[in-house]
Amino acid sequence: MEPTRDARVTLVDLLDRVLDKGLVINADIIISVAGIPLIGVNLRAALAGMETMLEYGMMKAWDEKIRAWEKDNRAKKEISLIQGEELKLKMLGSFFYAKGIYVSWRPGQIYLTDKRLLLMNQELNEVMFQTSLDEIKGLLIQEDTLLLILKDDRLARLRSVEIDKLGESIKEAIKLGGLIIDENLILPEYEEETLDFLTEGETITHKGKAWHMASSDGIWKPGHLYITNKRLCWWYDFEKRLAFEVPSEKILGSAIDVRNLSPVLKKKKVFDVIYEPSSCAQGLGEGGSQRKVASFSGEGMYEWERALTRIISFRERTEACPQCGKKANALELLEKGCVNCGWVSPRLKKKIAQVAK
Amino acid sequence: MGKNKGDSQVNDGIYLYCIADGNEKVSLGEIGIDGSNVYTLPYQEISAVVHNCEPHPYESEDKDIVKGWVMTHQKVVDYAWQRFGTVLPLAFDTIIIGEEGIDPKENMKKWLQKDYQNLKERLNKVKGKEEYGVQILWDPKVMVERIAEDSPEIKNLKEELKSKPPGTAYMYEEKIKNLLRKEMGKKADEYFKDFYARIKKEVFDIHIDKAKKVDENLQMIMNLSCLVAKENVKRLGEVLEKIKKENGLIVRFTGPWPPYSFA
Repeated sequence: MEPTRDARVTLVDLLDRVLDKGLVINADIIISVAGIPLIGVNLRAALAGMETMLEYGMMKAWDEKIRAWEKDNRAKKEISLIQGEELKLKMLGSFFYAKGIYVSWRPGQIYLTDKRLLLMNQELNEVMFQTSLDEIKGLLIQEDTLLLILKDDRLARLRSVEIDKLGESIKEAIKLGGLIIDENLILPEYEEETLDFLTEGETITHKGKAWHMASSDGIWKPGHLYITNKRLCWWYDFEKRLAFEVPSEKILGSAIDVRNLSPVLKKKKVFDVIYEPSSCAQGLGEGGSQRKVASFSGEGMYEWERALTRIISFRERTEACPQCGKKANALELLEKGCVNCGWVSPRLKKKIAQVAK
Repeated sequence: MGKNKGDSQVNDGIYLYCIADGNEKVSLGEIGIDGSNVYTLPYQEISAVVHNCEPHPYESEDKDIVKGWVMTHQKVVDYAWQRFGTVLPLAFDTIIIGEEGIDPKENMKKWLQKDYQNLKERLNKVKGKEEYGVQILWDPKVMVERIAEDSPEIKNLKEELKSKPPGTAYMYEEKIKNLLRKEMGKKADEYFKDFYARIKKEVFDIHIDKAKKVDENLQMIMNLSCLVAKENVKRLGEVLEKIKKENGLIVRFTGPWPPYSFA
């Protein structure tokens, strides 16, 4: 058995030492710090999630870059119009997609024609939302969101930077088509979920109940698993906190396995996520490129795998170096620089400078 | 406290990280709490690793700030440990103050002088050794089943219970529960004695810490801090591996830490 200093496992152990132990000076020359043991107790609970905080700091920078890059590469594919169909408007936007365990704002290109409104994701070449104009009963703009009420009282939500323009154009297209739009709308009820661990610009692409086995103790615990546009994370129900998370760029792959979870829960499907632990976040010199596995179990594990595969395949795209044009893996280009001409991304430069310091 | 930089000016307080072996007078850079300059104050063969601060404890309502301080404290101790080889760490927020007409540096020196022999002995004791945390936990649910299996008495009662009317069956259940509780206590005691003896052989010194609740579903039956000679760490690891495998227990092995428990 090898000792560990992995912050994930040892944080409480370390705090016990720094707060409660150490050389004691029996002298009147030191300040007695009233309340410190108390800080210690509260702190331990608060600190349990600290490693995730550290990890997150790194992840955020990454995601901005990936998004910027993604934006440049967007709008390559076009929809094919029906014969005689006229394109009225095209803009970037997103659609709130909620079906089963998928809940997210999914970005894509919004197309408005004289016959229909649709949103297509170019990365996946997939139409995510589509309605013919005569099915639109009414529309309403709430802050930055366009609410479309469809014939069967279904509610569709769209977002775009130019949301007002989109709203006006839809109204106009409907009227031009000789259709009537309901001005006195009653909104059907819908759920709005707020999850406070989400950060700015982070959206959930996938969520659901899942058991998770912490590598530190091998115990299966109940909670919720989320895949967002930035990370995969698991919410521990009992402690009401994120007990596990890994940025999506650290995920190497996944697999489904059938295992016995306990003497009672036998032959359950287990969703294993293989990832690269974030060595910088631990900061304690363990590092290296070892792999770790996080295990989850519950319903719909295959759907989870599919959702994750999408994230991973997205990452495996090739890109050209902005300096010399040599083709390379996009993520590697951002993370390690160009092997051909030595181009380094500004973010990486900053990081190198910090390490050197 | 952000202005506690540079070691020329003392702000009436000295924050103490650790006592280090050797008398090198050196600045370790602005690696301390809130970026303070950490330096050594040598006295004879030993040095205090410190930074200058206000004569008030570091306190904050903001947990993130306190978190940062505590982790920085540990990083400085770690760094000093690497650099000077042997250290006696102090707990977070140990601050030496001055008195009327007496500089805190003077006070520090007085204390080092008075306790010199003692500190020197302690430094010698921990030289070439590292502290490790050893925690042994079990899953009570698993243990209950195992104990119920192993005890003929409980097995018999369970068998008898099947043929009893409800009122009597309840009494039997209570009886079984009490027996299980007793057996669990006995088992924990037995384990403790056994493991302690085996671990003791591989380590220089042991400090028994209070068992803590660290997990919803597990019970800690043993929490030790061990002072181990560097060359014996591997052997300790092997003993723990055996304990883990033979008994189906959860073993946490953390470290190396500076000798917080043996200072």
